[in-house]
This record gives sequence, structure tokens and C-alpha cells, in this order.
Amino acid sequence: MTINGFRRLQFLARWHRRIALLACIWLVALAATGLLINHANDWGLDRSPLSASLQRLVYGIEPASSDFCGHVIALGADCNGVFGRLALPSGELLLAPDRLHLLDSTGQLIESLPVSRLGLDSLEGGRREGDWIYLRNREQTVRIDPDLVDWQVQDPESAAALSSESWQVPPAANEPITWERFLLDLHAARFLGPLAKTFTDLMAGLILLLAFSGAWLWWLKRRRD
Amino acid sequence: METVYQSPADFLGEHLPGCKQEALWLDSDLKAEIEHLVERPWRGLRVRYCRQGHKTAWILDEIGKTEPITSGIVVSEGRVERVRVLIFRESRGAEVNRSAFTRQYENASLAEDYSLDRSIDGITGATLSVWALNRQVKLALLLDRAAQRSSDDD
Repeated sequence: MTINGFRRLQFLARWHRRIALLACIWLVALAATGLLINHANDWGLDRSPLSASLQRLVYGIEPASSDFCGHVIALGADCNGVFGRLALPSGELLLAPDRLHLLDSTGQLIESLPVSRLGLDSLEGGRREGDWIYLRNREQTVRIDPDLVDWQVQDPESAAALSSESWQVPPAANEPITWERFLLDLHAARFLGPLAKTFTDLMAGLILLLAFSGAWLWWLKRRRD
Repeated sequence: METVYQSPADFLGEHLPGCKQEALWLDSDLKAEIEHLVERPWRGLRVRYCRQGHKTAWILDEIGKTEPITSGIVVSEGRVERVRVLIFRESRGAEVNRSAFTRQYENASLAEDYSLDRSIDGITGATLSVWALNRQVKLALLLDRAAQRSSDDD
């Protein structure tokens, strides 16, 4: 082998190592996440939700607020599902999909009322407008006095005339983000957003380069020996 | 599993058409009486009902075994006029819905010791549901008494 050939071999070997080091980090992450994804079902990762802090950090998703009942006396487990709170002249009204909780100004429960008593199968939104409370689901809208004693179903025209804003509605029914989903996103480098595809192409290119440069190095070395 | 035999609104429409929705506020004495009768803490400060003259209609929930049974009870002059199981959610004991059973309550009134003035025949396999319905009927009679008193005071 000539001096030039030897230098070319050294140069190639040096860059081969550098590229390998760079690709190695990605390969390790790819292999580790791939291994976990492969066994996600066996290890329960497809059922285990991501912690709220990680969800906030990685996806920027705030967990649904459940603090509507913090000040309420003796509501207990009935607070589950409460998605909204309407201020009333002498207290407040908590909204849940199947139930309303009327509270006085001290947070004492006055009455817990199934929404079916107001002619609604379920509750999907509530708002206050002037002296009236409006509750609605997909089929109909009901108008109630603030004491929750008198109520009447609104005709479609009156319901449509209500502004679509200011309704308190349940949070969108999101599927919980599981560890499997997180690993899949990590595996595919989706956290890089639009650059994810380019990054994956780049890394794939580097691996191909490594394969070819490795083969070439092997061939050069063999020829040298 | 929830079985709706009749919606509360339909029950009121059928038995007390045009009745006026009212709310009975519970003072501490009445609340204590209620808790004694239903044998559990009572949550809330008022109970709603529907009134038409001297008749009142009560839609009440009471736990059978694990789930609430919703019943409609019409009371007239301190006596039960009509009882109907409206929504049944338990897996067993739905036999309390049968009119042959609920008819036993008609004309029943509440004695001073919070018992009914007649004995109600139970149903084999539906004991807890029967007990729940008994409590509901007694509660409706107690609340009707308080509502009439409150109405007379006004």
C-alpha cells in the first residue's frame, strides 16, 4: 500500500468512527424503545398511563382540572365527573354529566339532582345568562330558574338563538397517553415535529454510509495486509 | 344495567298533571327524622316535589343493594295514592316494579313510630329492593306531612 493509500485509509477509518459514535446514540435509543414496544403488551405499557408531570412536560397537555369541589362540604365521590361551575346569586351550581349539585354560598350542599329530572338524558354543557341557567345536551336545551325549581325545555329556535360561547362543557374525551404511545413517539423521533422525517432520513443515511464505509475499510485493510 | 319503566316527567304528567314544582327545605329536626327513617346520613338541605292542591308527588332515590332505585310516589291527604318504580338499576330484585306489589302501598299512612300502618308482603329474592321501597314510601309520607305543615304555615 502507498503512503497516499494509507492516509486515505486512516482518514476513512477516523470518519467511520466519528459517524459510528453519532449513530450509536440513535441506535441505542432505537433498540431500547423498539425492545420495549415489542413487549408493550406483555409488560402493560399499552395500559399504563403516562404520569401527569411527564404528560405536561412532553406533550404540553394539562391534566383535566378536578378542583371544582375543593371547597364543597360532604360531596365526596360525587365530585367525580364535575366539569363546570356556575355562580348563582346565592351560591353556585356544579355541573356533572348526570347530576347537578346546588350549593349555598358556604359550600354546603343544598341539593343533588339527577339531570334526568330536568328532562335531560345527560348533561353536555351549562351556562348562565341573566337570571336563567341553560343546560343542554345534543338533543335539547333546558332553561331553569336559579333555584332549580322551575324548568322548561327550549324550542329549537330559542336554543339556537343562544350564543355558542360561554358554555361550560366537559373536557374532550381524550384517550389517556400511555407509555407505549410515548415510546412509539420516541422511537419515531416525533418529538422533533416536522424535522422528524428529515432526522430519520439523515440517520438512515448515516447507517448506510457506515455499512458501505465499513465494507470499504475492510476491503482496504485486507488489501493492505 | 338501568331499566327505565317510566320517566319521572311522565310519571308526574300521568298522575299529577300540571302540578307545581316546589322545594321543601329541611330544618335540623326534619333532617334528623329523615335520617332516622332512612338509617343513613341525609345529604342536602331541601327536597323537591310536585304539588297539586293537597296532593304531592315525590321522586325519590334509595339504594337497594348497591344502586339507587328511583320511585315516584303520590301522596294525598297523608295517604299513599300511587307508587311506581320508575328506574331500576340493580341486577336483582326488579320484581318490586310489579303493580301487584306496589298496590300494597295504596292508602298506607305513616304511624308515629315511622312505620307503615299496614304490613307489606315481601318478595323472595328481592328483600333489599323491598326494604328500599318501604323506606321510600315512608319517606314520602314524612316529607308530605312536613310539606303540608309548611304550606299551612304560609
